[in-house]
Amino acid sequence: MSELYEVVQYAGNIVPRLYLLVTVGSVYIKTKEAPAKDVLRDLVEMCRGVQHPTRGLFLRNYLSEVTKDKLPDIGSEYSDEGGMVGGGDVKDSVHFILQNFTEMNKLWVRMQRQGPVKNRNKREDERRDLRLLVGKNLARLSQLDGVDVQLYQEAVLPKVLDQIVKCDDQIAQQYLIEILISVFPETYHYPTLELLLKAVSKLQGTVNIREIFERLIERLKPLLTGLDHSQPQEIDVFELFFSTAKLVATPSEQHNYKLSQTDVLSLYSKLLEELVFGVYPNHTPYINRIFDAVYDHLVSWAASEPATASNDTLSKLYALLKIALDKQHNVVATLATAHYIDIVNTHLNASSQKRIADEILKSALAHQTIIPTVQDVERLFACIKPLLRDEEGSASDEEDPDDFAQDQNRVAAVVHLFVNPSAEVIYGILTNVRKEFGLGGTKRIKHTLPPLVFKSLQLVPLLKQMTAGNPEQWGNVGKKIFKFVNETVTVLERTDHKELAMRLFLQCAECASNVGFETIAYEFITKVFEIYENDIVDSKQQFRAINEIVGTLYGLLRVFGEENYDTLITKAYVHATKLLKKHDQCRAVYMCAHLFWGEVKGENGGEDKEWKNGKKVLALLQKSLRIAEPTMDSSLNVSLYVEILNEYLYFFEHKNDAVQVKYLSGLISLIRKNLEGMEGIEDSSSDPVVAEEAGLTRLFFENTLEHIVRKQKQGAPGYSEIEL
Amino acid sequence: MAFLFGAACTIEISIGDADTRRYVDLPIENSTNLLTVPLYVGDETVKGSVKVSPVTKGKKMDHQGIQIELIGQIDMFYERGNSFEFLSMSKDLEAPGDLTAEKEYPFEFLNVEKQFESYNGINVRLRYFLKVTVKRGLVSNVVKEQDLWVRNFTNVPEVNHPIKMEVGIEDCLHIEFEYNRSKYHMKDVIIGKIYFLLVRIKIKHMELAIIKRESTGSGPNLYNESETVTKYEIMDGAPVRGESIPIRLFLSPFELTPTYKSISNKFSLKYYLNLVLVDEDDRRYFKQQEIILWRKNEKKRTKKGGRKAKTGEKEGTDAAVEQPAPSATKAPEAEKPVEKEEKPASIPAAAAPSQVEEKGLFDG
Repeated sequence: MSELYEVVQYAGNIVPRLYLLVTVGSVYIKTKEAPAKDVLRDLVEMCRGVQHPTRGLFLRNYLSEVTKDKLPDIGSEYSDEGGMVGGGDVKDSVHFILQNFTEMNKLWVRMQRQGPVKNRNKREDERRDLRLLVGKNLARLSQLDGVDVQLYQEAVLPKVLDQIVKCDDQIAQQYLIEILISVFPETYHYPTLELLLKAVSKLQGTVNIREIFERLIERLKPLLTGLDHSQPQEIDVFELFFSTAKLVATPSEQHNYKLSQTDVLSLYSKLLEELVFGVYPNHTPYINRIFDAVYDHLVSWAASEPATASNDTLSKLYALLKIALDKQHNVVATLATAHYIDIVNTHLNASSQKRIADEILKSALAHQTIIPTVQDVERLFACIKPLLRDEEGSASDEEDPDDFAQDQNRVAAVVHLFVNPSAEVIYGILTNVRKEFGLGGTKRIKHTLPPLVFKSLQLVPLLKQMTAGNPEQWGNVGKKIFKFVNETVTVLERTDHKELAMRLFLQCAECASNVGFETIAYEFITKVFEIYENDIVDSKQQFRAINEIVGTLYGLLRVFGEENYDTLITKAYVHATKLLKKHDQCRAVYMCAHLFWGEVKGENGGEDKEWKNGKKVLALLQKSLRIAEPTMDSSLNVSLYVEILNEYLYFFEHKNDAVQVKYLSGLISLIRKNLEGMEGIEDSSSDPVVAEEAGLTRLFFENTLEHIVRKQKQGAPGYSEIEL
Repeated sequence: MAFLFGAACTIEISIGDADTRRYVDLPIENSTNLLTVPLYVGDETVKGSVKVSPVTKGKKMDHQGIQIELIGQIDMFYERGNSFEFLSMSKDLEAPGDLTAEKEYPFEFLNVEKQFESYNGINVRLRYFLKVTVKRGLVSNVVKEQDLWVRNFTNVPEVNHPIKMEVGIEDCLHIEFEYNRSKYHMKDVIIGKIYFLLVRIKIKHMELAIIKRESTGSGPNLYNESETVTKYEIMDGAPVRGESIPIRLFLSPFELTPTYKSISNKFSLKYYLNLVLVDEDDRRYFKQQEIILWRKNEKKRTKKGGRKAKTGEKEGTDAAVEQPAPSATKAPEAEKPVEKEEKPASIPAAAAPSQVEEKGLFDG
C-alpha cells in the first residue's frame, strides 16, 4: 500500500495525481496499514495544489466523500480508541474537516471574484449551485458523535465562524451561518450564542441579518420556552440578540453594516415579535429597550432622512408599533412603552398616525382594556390625536362620513374603559377628556360628549356613597359634578345638537333626582323645555321628545315638591295637546295621564311618594279619546281606541276610582262597533299594509279582551262588571 | 578492428565473481538493445580472467606479449578522438612468445581507486574499460575491450541547509519558496512549499522542473547542454495572496546521476530545480535553483536487491525504502518514534506545518 501511495504521486499532472492519491489514501486507511490521522492530514494538505475554484471544490468534495466513513470518531474502528494505534481521535477528524471546509470555502468565494464583471450574475448562480459542496462539511462535523457541546464550543465553532467572517462574501456568509444554525441542535447554540452573534455582527453589510435572527430564534425557541424565566439565566439571550441588533443597526467604522432603515426596523420587529413576545411574553423592560433603541435610530435619521420620507420605512415602523399592540393585548402597557408615543407623534405621517390610532382603539375595545389613570388617558389621547382633531390645513370633508362616524364611535366607546376605583381620578380624567374632546369640533362632539356625560353621571351615585355621612361635602361635590355635566351638555346645545342635548338633560335630571338634588333636577328639566320650545320643531321629534319628557318626569316625582311637579307635568300636558298630529296628540295626552297618577317607591328606606289625581287622569283619558274620534283613518282610529282602552284598564287596575266600569264597557262596545265597520276594509283592502294593520289592531283588541276575561275568571275586583 | 580478417586469436574477458556482481544495462547507440555491464562501486578490486584462443586450433600464433589494461577515460563527442585518460593501469599477462592452444590468464587490479563515476552524457562520456591486447609484430594487434560501470557513494553531507528564498517581480508577483534541503540523494523526496506573498497576475498553473546541465570543455570551447529531466505540475489554477502550495517530488522515478563538479577539468554536471509559473497569456515566470545530488550508500539495504533496473541509472533497490522522514512538522505528536519506525509506513508529511498555513489566510 505504501508503495502504491508513493507511485501514484509520480504522475506529473496535478489533478489526476491528487484524485489518485485521495483514492489510494482512502484505501490505505481502510486497510489500516497507515493511521487515518496521518493519511487524512496528508491528503487535505496536498489538495492545496489545486487552486482552480471548481476543480478544487470537486476534488475536495471527493476527498470528503471517500473519507467520510473513515474518520476517527467515538466508536470508529479507525481511531485510537477503536484499536488503530495512532489513528487519532475525533479532534483529528474535526481538524481535517475544518481544514477542508476552510479551503473549500475560500475556493468557493474566489469563484465570485474571478472572471469579467458582466458575468457576475451567472457566476452567482453557479456558486449557488455549488454551495452544497461547502455546506456539507458543516453537516459532516455535526454528524461526528465525538463532537459534543464542549468540543463544539472550543474547537469547532470558533474556527468555523472565523472562516465565515473572514471570507467576506455575502453569499457564503448568509448560507453558511444558516447551515450552521440548522445542522447543529439548539442545545449547542444556546451556550455558544454569544460567540455566534458576535460573528454575525461582523458579517458583510449585505447579509440579511433579520433572516439569520429569525432562524436562530426559531431554533432556540423550544429550548428557551422550556426555561424558567423568573430566575435569572446564565445566558441572557435577549441581551445578546439585542446588543447585536443594536450594534449592526448603528453605523460605525468598526463594521460594514449599512442597514437600510427598513432593514433596521424589520430587524427590531423580528426581535420583538419572535424573541420578546415569543419567549418572554410581556416582559416590559425588554419591550422598552427595543423601542428605546428604535427611537434613537429614528431621531438620528430625522436630520438627514426622516422615516416619514419613505413609505417602506413608514410601513415597517407601523408594523413594529402594531406588533406591540397585537401581542400585548393591553394598550395601557403598550402606550406606556418607552417612546411609543413619541414615535407615533413625530415619526409617522398623518395617514399612518391615523391607522395606528385606529388600531389602538380597536385593541382597547377588543380586549376591554381598563384605562385607569389620567396619565394613561393622556397617553392614549396623545396617540389618537388624528381622531380627536382635524389636521391643520387638511380637508377633512373628504372623509367618508360612515368611516368618520365609526372612528368617532370608537373614541366614544373608549370613554367607558376609563375605570378607576377613585371617583376623583375619574373626575380628573373626565375633565381632561372634555377639554380634549371640546377641541375636536362640532361634528366630533356629537359622538364623543354623550358618553362623557353618561360616564360623569355614573360617578354621581359613587360620589354620594363616598361622602355618605357628610352632607355638606356631598352637596359640594354633587353640585360640582352636575355643573360639569351641565357645561358639557350645554356645549352640545350650543353647537346645534339640540335634540341630543335635550335628551342628555333629561338624563341629567333623572340622575340628579336619584340623588335628591331637586333644584338641579328642576333646572335640567327647565332646560329641556327650553330646548323643546325653542328648537324642536319637527313634529316627529316633538312627539318623541314629549314621550321622553313624560317618561323622565314620571320618575322625577321622587325628588320634586308638589308645586314643582305640578308645574312641570302641566307644562308637559300643555305641550302634548299642542302637538300637530292628532294621533300624536292623542297618544301624548294619554301618556301624560300617567303623570297624574304618580307613585314612587322610597329608596333606601325612604318614604313612598304619591301624586294621584284620579279625576285629572280620567279627564285626560277622555280628552285623548276625543282627540282620537275625528281621525279619518278608521283603522288608526280603532287602533288608538284600543290603546286608550288599555290605558283605562291600567288605571282601573291601579285603583283609580274615577275610572269606572261604564267607561270601559262603553269603550269596548265602541271599539266593537268600529271593528265591525272596518271588517269590509280589512278583507277588501288591496293594500296589504292596511290589511295587516287592521289585523294587528284586531289582535291587540282580542288580547286585551282576553286579559279582561282572565281577570274576571280570577275574580279580580270590579272586573266582573265590565261588559264585553 | 580486432576482428578484421586475419585476426589470429579470440579474446574473452570474464569478470570475477560474476554471479554475485550487479549489472547495469546501458543503451547502445543506434540500437534498441541494451548492453549489460558489470557494476563496480568505489575502489573495488577488478579481477577476472582472460581467455585467449587461437582462431585455428593447433595453429601456432606468435605474439609480442599479452597485456591487460584498466583504463578510465573521458571522451568528448564533439571532438572526435579527443579522449583523455585519467586512469591507465596495465598488467602483462604473457611475455612475447607463441600461443598454440587456448590459455586462460587470471588478472586482478587490487583496490583500484576509481575516482570518477561512469557517465554517458550528451557531449561527454566517462567510461572505464578493460582492454586486453595481444601484441603482434607486423600485423595488427588483437584487442578486446570490456566496459565496466562505476559508481561512487558519497557520505551523507554534513551540512544540508534548506533552500529558502523570496523572489518576485515588483508589484506583480512575490513568492517565497522553500525546499527542505539543498542536497538530495537520488532516491530522495523534495519537499517544500511555495508561499504567495503577492499575486497580481492570473496564474494558470505552476510546475517544478528538474533540469540537468552538462558543461563540457572550457574557455571558448565550453559547451553547455541542458536537459529537462521532468516537469511536475504542482499547482492548478490561480492562487491568491497568502496561499501556500505544497511540493512533494519523488526523485526515484527519474534517471539521475549525482552532481559532478569539474571532472578532471573536462566536464561538469549540475542539477537545477526550476520553478515555473505560467499565466493565462502563457507567459512564464521562473526561478532556477541548483540542488546538489549525491549517491547514497545503499549497501546495507540490498537484501531484497538484485532486481535489475530497466534503465541505466536505475538501481535494483527497493523503491520504497527512501520515504522521507516524517520531518519536523510531525514531531510534536511523535511520542514514540521507535515504534513508529516499525509501522508499515509513515506518510511523508507535507512540507508546511499546518499551523503556519492556517495563519494569514484571508487576512488583511
